[in-house]
Amino acid sequence: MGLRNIVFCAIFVLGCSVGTSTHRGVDSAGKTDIQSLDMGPIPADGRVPVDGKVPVDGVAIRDADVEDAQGASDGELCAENRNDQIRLALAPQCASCHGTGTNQPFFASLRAFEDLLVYNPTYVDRDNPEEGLLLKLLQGRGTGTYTQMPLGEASFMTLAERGETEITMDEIRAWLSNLAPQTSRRGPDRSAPTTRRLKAEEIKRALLAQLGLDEERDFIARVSPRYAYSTVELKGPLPLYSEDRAPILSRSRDKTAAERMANLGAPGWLSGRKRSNELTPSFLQTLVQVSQAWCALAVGKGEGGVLFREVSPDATSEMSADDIRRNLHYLYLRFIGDRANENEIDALYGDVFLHYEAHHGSSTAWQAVCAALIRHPRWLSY
Amino acid sequence: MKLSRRALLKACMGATQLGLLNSFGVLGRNAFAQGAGSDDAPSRLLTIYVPGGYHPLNLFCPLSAEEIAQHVPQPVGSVLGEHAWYTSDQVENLAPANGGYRPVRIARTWDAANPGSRERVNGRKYMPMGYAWREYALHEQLALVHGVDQQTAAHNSGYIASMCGVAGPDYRAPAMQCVVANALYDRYPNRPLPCVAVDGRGVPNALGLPTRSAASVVPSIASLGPQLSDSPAANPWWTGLNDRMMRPGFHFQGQPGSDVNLTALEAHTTETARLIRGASNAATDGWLEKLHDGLKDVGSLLARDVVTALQNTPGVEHLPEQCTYGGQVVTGYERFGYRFGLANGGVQRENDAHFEMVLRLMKADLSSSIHLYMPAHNHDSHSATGHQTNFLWLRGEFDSIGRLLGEMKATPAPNRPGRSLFDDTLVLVFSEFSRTWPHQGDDHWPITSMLYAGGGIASNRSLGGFDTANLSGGPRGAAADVIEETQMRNTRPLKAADIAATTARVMGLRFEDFFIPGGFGEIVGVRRT
Repeated sequence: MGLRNIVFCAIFVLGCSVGTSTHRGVDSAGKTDIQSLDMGPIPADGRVPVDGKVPVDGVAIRDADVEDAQGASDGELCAENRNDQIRLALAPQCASCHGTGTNQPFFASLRAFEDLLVYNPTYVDRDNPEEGLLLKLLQGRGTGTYTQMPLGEASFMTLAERGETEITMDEIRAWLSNLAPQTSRRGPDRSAPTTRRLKAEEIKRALLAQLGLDEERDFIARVSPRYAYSTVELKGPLPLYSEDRAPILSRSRDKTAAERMANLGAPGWLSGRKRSNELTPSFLQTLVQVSQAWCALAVGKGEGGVLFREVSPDATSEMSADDIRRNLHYLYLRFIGDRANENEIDALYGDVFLHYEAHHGSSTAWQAVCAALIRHPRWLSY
Repeated sequence: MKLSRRALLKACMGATQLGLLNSFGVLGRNAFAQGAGSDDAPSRLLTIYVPGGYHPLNLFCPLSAEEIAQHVPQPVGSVLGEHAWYTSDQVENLAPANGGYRPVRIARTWDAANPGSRERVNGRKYMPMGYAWREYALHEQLALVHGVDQQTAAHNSGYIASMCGVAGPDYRAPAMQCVVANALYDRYPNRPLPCVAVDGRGVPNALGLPTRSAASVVPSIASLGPQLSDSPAANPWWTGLNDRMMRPGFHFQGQPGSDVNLTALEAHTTETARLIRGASNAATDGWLEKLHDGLKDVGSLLARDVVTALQNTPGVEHLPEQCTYGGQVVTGYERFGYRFGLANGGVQRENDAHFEMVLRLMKADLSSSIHLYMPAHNHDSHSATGHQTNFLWLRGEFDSIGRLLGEMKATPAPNRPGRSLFDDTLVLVFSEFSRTWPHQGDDHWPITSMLYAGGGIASNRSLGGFDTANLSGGPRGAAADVIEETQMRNTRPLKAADIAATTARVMGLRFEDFFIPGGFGEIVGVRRT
């Protein structure tokens, strides 16, 4: 390891850990000086030989860059490979329209940059880079809806010629001509979140269906003339109604139904509230209450309901343990959509059913079992 | 000494590199660290959002006499039966200057000799809206920051900028309310609602922070009962299910934790989430951990019976039922309410319930971070008379806020002897952006002002400012002193991230305790040192 790499390491360890800036991305004052960063030959895998990371604006940085930084963080940017260096160098002109949350988020991450842009033949023609859409757009030679990037008065090439970019067109051409093979795996990212909780509306629909409840019958008391218009009064334990659902309901005096729905993450488009699928405290507080309240309603329907296919509602463990366990299997399948193993049934039976049966009787025990299944991670997730 | 990569390089290569690096403060020393929730810092954060984009000069005015003459309209009778606007001779220091900083200046619309008066003199009716800041001597812990660039003129984006420091359609950093709640959690573990939103709109987003730091929405006492009570008397579905006992607690990874007060059902459900750990990938485990911890927190919260605690805690104790300024009852004003015009104007009481809830949450010591969405008025007027109307509304709203702070000032802080609730709470008042200035139309303008008050705040300071040259719609922000995240001092225009960072710093967080994409600095002069 030569002196340069030693310096790189030192700068990386220190520079990339200054303050909170262990992030990658484009700082408002971040500078990436590709021109002055002599990386030497690029390995076949495109990875740079400095612990997998390189500070892109550390050595031989132009004095002007240092002085112009105005005391900002000097862009503690650490490129993971050559593609990342280019991404960071292009970012000042591109990332504001192509960052996270945009419809073409090329600059959201290195992975996005590589998968969506660099190794996408729509944009980069590896055999003839000059004819690839990326270079055409940067030069203002596009022929589609957009003829140049960035949008506005000057194309990237013009900006580069003025010295207003952090990378020149020649450097971009050189990068594309020597593009390293893609090392990031295409397709789904196995480490990415694949589990989300049910949306508020899905929770409501699932509860109604699985508990055998009916919205009109169980949660609406009457539709009757009141003032000059008909109105709907809500009834039942903890009804759930979206504030956007029906104007007639918004006149109901019970605003808590809409608040509960909002707590479950339902959007309020008329009031500008976005959907939330987070596991917020309000979501869990509401779910705990609703699960118990609605389960009590369902259990109260007894044999006329849907919860007791294998056992009588008032059967006891002393007399009907096997029937109770069979009904637990049935409920598990009904709620979770999968067959339970005996360990799970043992836990439901021992920790929940028997505990509450012993203290408060079988109705309370079935209510607790029902609520436990609704709070089960596999019920809540999709 | 400026910290740059070049300077760091020199330091690396120097013979006394360790000593040099230490002088940069990168070897663990943090010259500005207080420590989250330290004895010096306030123990809770109250953020107050005034929706719609306000015009900050309607009450607090940092402009010179020449600028006022140029940019503030001449006083005029408004459509709401009050007089709008002011002249430079009505703008006065809230108190003498402090520490070499410009003092807060306030536009007086009341009778200086008789501030409660609503008399009409020389065709102009005295209007006490705003006098609360004098009545309760709020200047003692008050810093106005002017010229803050929100870097957007879109409502949602500006709101998010105010909340987390970065404008955008979605949060790219956790809301500062959640950051603070998370940071204070270990120091105040007995606060069962670490982060609270007193309205369902604009709830602070915790992003990837632990569930404990995400906001619970508690709009009213009436709403709390069905949400946070396990009493069968209030919620019959708890009959037979609310038997609790202290049980051994476990972290999601399986290590023993502190005991928790759970029902058998709650213990079973949290355990279920923990037992399927490792069944999928790390991201799913992260989700399960949030569920596990969240369900455990709900159980603990129900065990605390916060509903009863809130019901038994008085909200307002010190403010009179009728607003009283200078010893005189203000005709038509109530405890928090105010009225435009005289008999034909209704009293604006929309703040009452929200303020009551905020006070109870603070006095019962239930929360470390409280976010309040002002319910009464949206300042997004866009009309020919919008500026006039908003002039009055802003003064009314800020007067109401001033009375809330007055109540806090008169209330001892729970568990912090010798301090008032005001001393122990950092208050930040903001909107998503400002409006174009009165002679420039009534539209959105990204350069705005924020107000800090209460615990940890210096006395009577007006920071930042407006560059009023070549006004086009509105001003640019004037340069102000900041300590950058590199801990170097700098002078530059301010931005939303600086407000979020300064909030965190006043709350005792160190720079390394939070992160705002795009860089940030602490505004010099806000924090009491």
